[in-house]
Amino acid sequence: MARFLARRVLLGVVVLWVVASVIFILYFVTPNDPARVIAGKEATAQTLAAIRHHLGLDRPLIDQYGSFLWRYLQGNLGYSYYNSEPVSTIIAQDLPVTASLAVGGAIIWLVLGVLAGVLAARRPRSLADRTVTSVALFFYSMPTFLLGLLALTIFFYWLHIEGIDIFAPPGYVGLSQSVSGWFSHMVLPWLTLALVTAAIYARLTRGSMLDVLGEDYIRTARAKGLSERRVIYRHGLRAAITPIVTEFGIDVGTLLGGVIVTESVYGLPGLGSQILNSVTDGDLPVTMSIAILAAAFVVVANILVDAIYALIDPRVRLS
Amino acid sequence: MSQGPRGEGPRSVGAVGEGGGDRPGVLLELQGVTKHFPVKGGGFWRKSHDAVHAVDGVDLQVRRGETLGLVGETGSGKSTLARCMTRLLPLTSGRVLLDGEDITDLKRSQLRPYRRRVQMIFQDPYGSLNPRRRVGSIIGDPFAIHKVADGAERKRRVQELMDLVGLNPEHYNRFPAEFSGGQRQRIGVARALALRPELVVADEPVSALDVSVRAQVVNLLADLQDELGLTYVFITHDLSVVRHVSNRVAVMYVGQVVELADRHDLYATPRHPYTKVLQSAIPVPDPEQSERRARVQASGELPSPINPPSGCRFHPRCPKAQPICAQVVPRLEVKFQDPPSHLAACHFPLADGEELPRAEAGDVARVGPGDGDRRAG
Amino acid sequence: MSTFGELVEEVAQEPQLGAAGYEAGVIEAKGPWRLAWDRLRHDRVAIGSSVVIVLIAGMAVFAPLASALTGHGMDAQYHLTGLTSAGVPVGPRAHFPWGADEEGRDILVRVFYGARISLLVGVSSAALAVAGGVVLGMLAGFFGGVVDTALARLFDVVLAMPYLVFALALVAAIGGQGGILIDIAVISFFSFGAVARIVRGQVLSIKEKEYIEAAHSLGAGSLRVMFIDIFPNLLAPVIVYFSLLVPSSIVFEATLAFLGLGVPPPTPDWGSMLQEAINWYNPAWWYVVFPGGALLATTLAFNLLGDSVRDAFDPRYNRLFARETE
Repeated sequence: MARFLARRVLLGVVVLWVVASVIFILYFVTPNDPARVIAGKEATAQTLAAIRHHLGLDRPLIDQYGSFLWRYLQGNLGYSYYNSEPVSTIIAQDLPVTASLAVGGAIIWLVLGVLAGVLAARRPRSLADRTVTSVALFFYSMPTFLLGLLALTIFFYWLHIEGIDIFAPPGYVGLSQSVSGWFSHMVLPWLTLALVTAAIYARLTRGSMLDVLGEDYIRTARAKGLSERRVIYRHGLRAAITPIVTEFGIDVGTLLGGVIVTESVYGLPGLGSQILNSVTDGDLPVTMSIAILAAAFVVVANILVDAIYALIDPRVRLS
Repeated sequence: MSQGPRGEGPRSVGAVGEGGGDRPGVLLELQGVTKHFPVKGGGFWRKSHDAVHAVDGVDLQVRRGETLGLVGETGSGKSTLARCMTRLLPLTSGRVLLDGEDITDLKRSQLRPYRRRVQMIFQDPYGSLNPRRRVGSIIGDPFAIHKVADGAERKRRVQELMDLVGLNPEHYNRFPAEFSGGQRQRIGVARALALRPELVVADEPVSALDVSVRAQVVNLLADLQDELGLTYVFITHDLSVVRHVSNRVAVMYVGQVVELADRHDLYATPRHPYTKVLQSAIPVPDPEQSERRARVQASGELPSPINPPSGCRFHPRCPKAQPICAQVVPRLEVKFQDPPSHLAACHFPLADGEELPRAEAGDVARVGPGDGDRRAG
Repeated sequence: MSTFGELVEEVAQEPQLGAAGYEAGVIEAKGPWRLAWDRLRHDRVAIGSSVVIVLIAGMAVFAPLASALTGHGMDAQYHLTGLTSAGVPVGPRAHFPWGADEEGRDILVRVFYGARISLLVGVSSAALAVAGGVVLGMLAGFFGGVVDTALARLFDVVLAMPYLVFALALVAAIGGQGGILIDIAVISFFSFGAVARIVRGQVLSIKEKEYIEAAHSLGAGSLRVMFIDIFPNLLAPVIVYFSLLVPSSIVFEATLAFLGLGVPPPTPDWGSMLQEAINWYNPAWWYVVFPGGALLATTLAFNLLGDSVRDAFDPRYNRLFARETE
């Protein structure tokens, strides 16, 4: 187990290093000039040079690369080119928004997806199965941003025009400010984030359950006279859950990338919006830090999945 | 049909002496061929030093025009030996000589010309044909690989081959799934014979087939040998098949040859107790005769090839074993007044007509082919 | 004597075998491709989704025709006819069948032209990802050893990257100049890893088959074994994977465009049209509905077709829209 962990952590560090290096290279391969973004169009060459010097952009590339990596090794994320705020402060500000969105969304898609999948698998080709599978395919084919757009149009604007304001307009209200405000602002983003993924889970769960329910031991369990509920949930779902756990780990890991679209549609000031802005502004320290954070999420999630895998499936031995 | 190949078996090419060298008549020679497979596993840092001793120091000669039978239980290393002969596997040590030329260390590209001369027929008629390719293209492979024939010419020759092995040439465009097991094995035979090889190594060519179909394929192989002057190495776990097709028989046990003799000598006067045990496992059609015949059996299981027994590898199961058997490795040599072609590796060879002490029923494991072939009457 | 010997004698005397006779009783069966094709041909879902895909492709091909019929260029702005006096886009009417956008451009013409980008990027990204995944996966699985270790690690790294974050950085860095080619490169780069992993696994199992050994015993070289013997066995999963990668690539492309990082304006693109629509969906529903509908119809049709294709190759798979009768 220790050896397994050591290997995975080593691989994770390599992934993070590759991510940092690629972003760094990309950034300098192309003519990005944060100095111009900061100083504006009328700035003199002198001002630009001064800003560049201040940001350290006039140093040799290899030097800058080295100091980037060295800073990260020390846990220092650097300062935004744009407003000189420490990147750690920016991330600390945005993280609660993203966390609200991600945690809520993940719970909804997991519960919704698995339940729908089980419902569909209980009686294949029944009306319930057909409904679940049709709806799942519909959402599976739906781009997240389109879903967000439609949800916003229908549930906010149209209802708003009718004078019904159940759902809050785009934007964010902190949990500490107002619990109900937070909730009403998050409902649509949660659903937007969750429904597309829930569709994948419904398909996955259904397929996995159908495989498991065809096994002999399920027939044995039924023959023993166990209740159908017990057969489905205790015997069926337990065996069918392994691929779902794998998928969940991967999805939670890539969630930081996934929230970009939702945050952008609903104007939520989270990490996703932040990285989108930093990319357009050429704010390298912010882009790099959030990208590394996102990659670290993936790495940790993968390690956790493998560990959980070994726990729930005794056939898997980590080596 | 002529009685030819089936009556007394294919004619042997005149007596050839024992020993090394590129004497006329010897087509393939194996000298101390050894193949060990490293065992996977061990730790993360250190590699495992264990190895499966699949083949251990085998000396054999295959003579032009003969059929050499290679018999042994599953796991005796006979299939590995076949792959060493055909150089599908690299050897751990030892040499392989084809027509006196050393082909042991040739690289894959250098081996190509030899591939034309040595061909293989595989055991599994289902696994050995690519399910996604048409039969015509499978049989035409050798022509394509060795750039012998193209287009219409290739098709013509493939269909000739199909006809030769008893397949309908019109089925050229079918997939392997459209044929029965016996027909598939004919496809495998056609492919092996496409380039008119000198030596064909047949690795259990009939053991995956129905008993009724086996005979047809064996007959086909015998006819083709007559027609094309082929040399066969015929590998099987079934002594009754080998007896029917071979001129000479080599008996393998846990990676080593324990007895080598002309067919008649081997059956008339087996010297190694293991040969005797194998022989008694052949099912007999006549129940009365079966009753009378002493059924000898070896006790215990086939030993692990990772840690083969010391001395004679058969000693833990041998009814005649003495202390020396566990200590000294017996040499493969002529016993009693046998002809020089009859060799056995045993400290206590069986005399003419000697029977093995009968093992007690119940606590014994059978050796040789399964009970499936046994008929009630 | 042995049973076997007697059996051989007995068989040899049977007249229908031997010299002239072929073994009787050929099993009648269709080849695997034929079988899959037959299933697909009789699958209503597959036919329906194919029709939709052909329609979308027709939109892409005949976009200039739509432009000629309406008299509206693909990025020409019609401030007089396309916008009301208050500057609001006009809704569907005779001159603008699908309405106009904020600049007074014809949405129908733009949606038709937008189909070109979606299909081109979707299909070529999927093709590139599959080609790269197959080649690298085959190399890894076939050669094993160091090659395998290195490539497998590469797949791991690519799959562990937060792809949207990365795609953003990548497209932002190079985008605007490369346009559609950059899109294709980025999308296929982040999709090939999954294909490569699957292909590698398949090759590892195919490599152990006896027919591969047979090919070696005939003297076939590595390239021949890989492409003549192994590749045909990979084709079915690869086709299935391709058909499912197309819709996800289309979504990927539209998402990049929606985030403002796709094909540079004013080239019409469904994703960027929806991005522009975000401020107008209250008064101008047509601005969302037509590009969004086209996008959704395309991904839906490709996903349905992909499911059917998978089903055709592997009927055991429990498909979403299984037919009642088999």
